[in-house]
Amino acid sequence: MSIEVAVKKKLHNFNLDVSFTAENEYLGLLGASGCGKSMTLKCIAGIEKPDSGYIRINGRTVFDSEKHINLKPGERKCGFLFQNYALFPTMTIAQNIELVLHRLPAAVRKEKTSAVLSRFGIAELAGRKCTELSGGQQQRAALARIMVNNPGIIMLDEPFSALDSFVKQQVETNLINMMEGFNRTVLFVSHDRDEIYRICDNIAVISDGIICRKGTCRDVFVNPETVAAARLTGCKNIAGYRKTGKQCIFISDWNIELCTAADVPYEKGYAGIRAHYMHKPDDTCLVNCYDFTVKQQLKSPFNISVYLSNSGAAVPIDWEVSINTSTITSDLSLNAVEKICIPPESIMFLTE
Amino acid sequence: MDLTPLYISLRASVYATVFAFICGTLAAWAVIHIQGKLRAVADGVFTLPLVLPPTVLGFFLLCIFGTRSLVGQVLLKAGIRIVFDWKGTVAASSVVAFPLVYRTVRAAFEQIDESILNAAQTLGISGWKIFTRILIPSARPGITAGTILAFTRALGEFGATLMLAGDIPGKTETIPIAIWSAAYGGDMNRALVWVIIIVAISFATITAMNLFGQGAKRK
Repeated sequence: MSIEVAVKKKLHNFNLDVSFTAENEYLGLLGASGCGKSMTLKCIAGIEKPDSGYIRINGRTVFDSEKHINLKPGERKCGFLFQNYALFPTMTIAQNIELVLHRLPAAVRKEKTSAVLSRFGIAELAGRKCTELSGGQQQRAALARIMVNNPGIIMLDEPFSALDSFVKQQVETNLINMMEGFNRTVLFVSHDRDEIYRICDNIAVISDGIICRKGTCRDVFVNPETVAAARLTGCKNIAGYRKTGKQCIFISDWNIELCTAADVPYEKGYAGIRAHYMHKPDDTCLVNCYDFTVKQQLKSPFNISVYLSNSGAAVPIDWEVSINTSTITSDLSLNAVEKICIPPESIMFLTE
Repeated sequence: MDLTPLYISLRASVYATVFAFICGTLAAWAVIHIQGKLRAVADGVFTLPLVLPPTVLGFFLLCIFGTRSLVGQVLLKAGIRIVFDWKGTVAASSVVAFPLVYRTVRAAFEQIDESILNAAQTLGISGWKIFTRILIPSARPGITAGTILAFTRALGEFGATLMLAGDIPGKTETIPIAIWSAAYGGDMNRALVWVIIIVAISFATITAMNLFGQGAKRK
């Protein structure tokens, strides 16, 4: 099972220009809201029409601007799980599914419906309306409704964003379990890097309508390559550098000179440092230890973001400390001076 | 007292409501599928009967259904007479009632979450099934409200009816026309009786709609 996409679409002053392929894998599309990731799914499903390009699902062309092929959404066999699940509100769960099968004889329809409902563990909810169900149950029903249509690929558009945070993880686990055995291609759209990292094999980072980084999840998180991908994978500290040696850079925003583990690739570029890789000095740390002033702290229940500033720096550096492993955070006070190490191997080189 | 105006009015209103319900709902469905500037034009055409003077509508209807027009002659050959006939009261009421259904139903359709319609499309559900099984049930409160408004408006139709169907007692004399001719002829008592009847019917209908609507909301 596979999908090949290469589409362009202009919308007001936004340009979508994406191309990717996916085959028997979970491909995550990571991007901020408005970056074009949902629009990409809508183009694939046939809800939106691209200006040019082609879309092939399992080898079948469903859209090709040159050959004037543009199949209707219903002919594309795309399972589309919407953010709000989009169950038909005036019907019961069973009726929702039966409507999808309306071309089949009544007896077959009933049988298939009850089979899929029990497969998704919601047989006892068959007679309920979607307004009477929890978010997780609605998601199951919507997924059952998709699966009964036997889709060639499945697209999940921010499937957990409408859920309360305390049920999110359980629903996520359930979704993964339900999808097991579904040996097809899945596109998973999200703005949440953790979700994508947990669920997907590969990832495509979309920024401003363009895919700025593609690869396996691990690769993209370890080496995002571009500023946009670094930011979307959660890198808090990004600034321009100037090369001062083979493995040495100067970052004027932070007024700091840093040693790097890898050779500096360009004379000028961007450096990214993940906030939680920085640490207090210990035996392993021989270089890149500097005195910083604590400018501000944002205290979450289990971690603290500390904004550190070097003297003469224009922009503070974000240092993230886990509370349970840290003994010092409680006595960090404003304007205190802290010695912090930035491990050379944690410095990522990025391009615009 | 001769109650034929009540009968004529109710007959015209019931037929007109059925017409406005069907055509108004279908027009609303068509317009939400139209993209771009054509949508504004179509919407303008369908809304026009709401804002034009009824005499202008009556004039247009005379042009369309008059015995000398093409449509009128075809209908006459088929044995159907619109002008100066009870069918004229239906035609006039239908035209004024239509935009009320059209506009309320269109608003109700536009309230429906787009992703629900998109989901139905991606699931391969046909356009007609989407219309009958998803759009109409979801828009039911709006359709009910629009239909009741259309009924009361049809009941009160005067200008276009007078121009198209005339004032023929026992044949085309609706309640509004009966009030007009009674008052014109100096029979204020007869006029008053019909005024009371039409106010009572309209008020009862609208109130029933509101009570029904509240009940539906409480659920």
